[in-house]
Amino acid sequence: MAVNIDSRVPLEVLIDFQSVHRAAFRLFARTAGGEWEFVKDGTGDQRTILPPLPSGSALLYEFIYFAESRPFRAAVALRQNGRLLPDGVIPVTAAGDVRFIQGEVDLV
Amino acid sequence: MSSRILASGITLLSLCLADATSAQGAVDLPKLLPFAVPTSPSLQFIGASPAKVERPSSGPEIFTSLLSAIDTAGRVQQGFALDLAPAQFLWRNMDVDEYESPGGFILANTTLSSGTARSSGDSSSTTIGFGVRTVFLDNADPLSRAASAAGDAAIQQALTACLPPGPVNRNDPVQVKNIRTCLQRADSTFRAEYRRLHWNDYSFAAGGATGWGLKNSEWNEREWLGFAVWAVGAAPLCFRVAPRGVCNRGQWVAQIHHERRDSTFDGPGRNRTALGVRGNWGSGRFNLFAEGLQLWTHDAPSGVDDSYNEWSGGLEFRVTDELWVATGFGSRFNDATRDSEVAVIANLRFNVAPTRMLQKIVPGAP
Repeated sequence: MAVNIDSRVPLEVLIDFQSVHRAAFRLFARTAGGEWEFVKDGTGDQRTILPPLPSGSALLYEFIYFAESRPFRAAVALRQNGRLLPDGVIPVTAAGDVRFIQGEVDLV
Repeated sequence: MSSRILASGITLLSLCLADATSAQGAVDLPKLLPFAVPTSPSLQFIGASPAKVERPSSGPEIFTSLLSAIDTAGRVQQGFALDLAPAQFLWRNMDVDEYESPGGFILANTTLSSGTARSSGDSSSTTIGFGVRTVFLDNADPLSRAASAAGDAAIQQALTACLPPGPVNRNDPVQVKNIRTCLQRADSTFRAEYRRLHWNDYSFAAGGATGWGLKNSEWNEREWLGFAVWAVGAAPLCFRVAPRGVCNRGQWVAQIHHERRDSTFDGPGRNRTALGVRGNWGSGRFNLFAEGLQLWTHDAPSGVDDSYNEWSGGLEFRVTDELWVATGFGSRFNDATRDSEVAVIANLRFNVAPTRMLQKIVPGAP
């Protein structure tokens, strides 16, 4: 998954839980060739503003949740200048008993 | 007065007001109270138990389901049943914080139901029922507001305990498997502890149903049958949650049920109210119980007492998250004859607020 960003302005990352699960997330970021750096974790909807990131950076998200019989759903949304980026809403879905899900977003 | 010991098989307690006929005439005797609002009040009201219940999850599916209830001649089909959870249309992306809000909780636990069945004694006519059921409060639900702080703490703790400090290597199946196992353990621990503390916590659910008899299965030839309402509430023994001790050991459960059915071509009328109270003593896994039932028949024929009561007691143990198996004995007094009987019972009982409807109806859910 790749999203075009403007590397001159801050990047806003929104975590939006969309199903009834006890759940938490972790968010990491790295610049091209760099190591993953912890950004934030939490248990509810969150909004985080990252400083301007150069092209070639990436975000990594991890969700954990307690099992329910319904599917887990959440979304990671990316905004700049108050606007959602094209392809900037990343749906996160998994079966109700998977409990752990991870994904990566390339920022180009 | 004679006494008999009767052994009975397992019967669902949802037959609480199932008919029984005494030797002296048509006197409706209740079975045991279910202490739960029927999952589908409309089916309970019309006395149907269809093999399949439609659970549409989108507008087109609702439309298709409703079409299947009507034949090509425009008559209502028999054997149709539908359960609908409004939350999936009105609040599709509800998360746990929204579920914890009073409005979100009630909406998420509300279901609408409808069903049809053959009218008694007339195969060409149909009985149609409509019902609603909702849970207003269920502090024993580990997703409820009452569980918010403990649930958030548990998942936050799992975040630290089950994940490495850095990102998980998702290409390492062993690491991923260990993480899932750790999360499963944290999940089970949280649920077990929450149930231990809150098994007897406050809950309240209610439901209602109404229906019509459709002569020749045509809507234009309908006769209103009446209505039924159910309300069930539970409270801790000391009316406060206690982590341990006597107050953590007991629970009160009460149910009231009123049914008024008019006399129509579909069957005779009846008008009655049942009140039941149960005391549980034990834990979230095992209980001793005692319960009493009082039934008032408002339209009893002359010469027949208009009230009736029974008691029972025994023990029960939990077999799933929501289901208990009970056994014991009970006394039932037939007011028409004043005979009594003591019956050995073996029954199933659902939680006061069984089956979170989101779990049941959301696509992909079993």
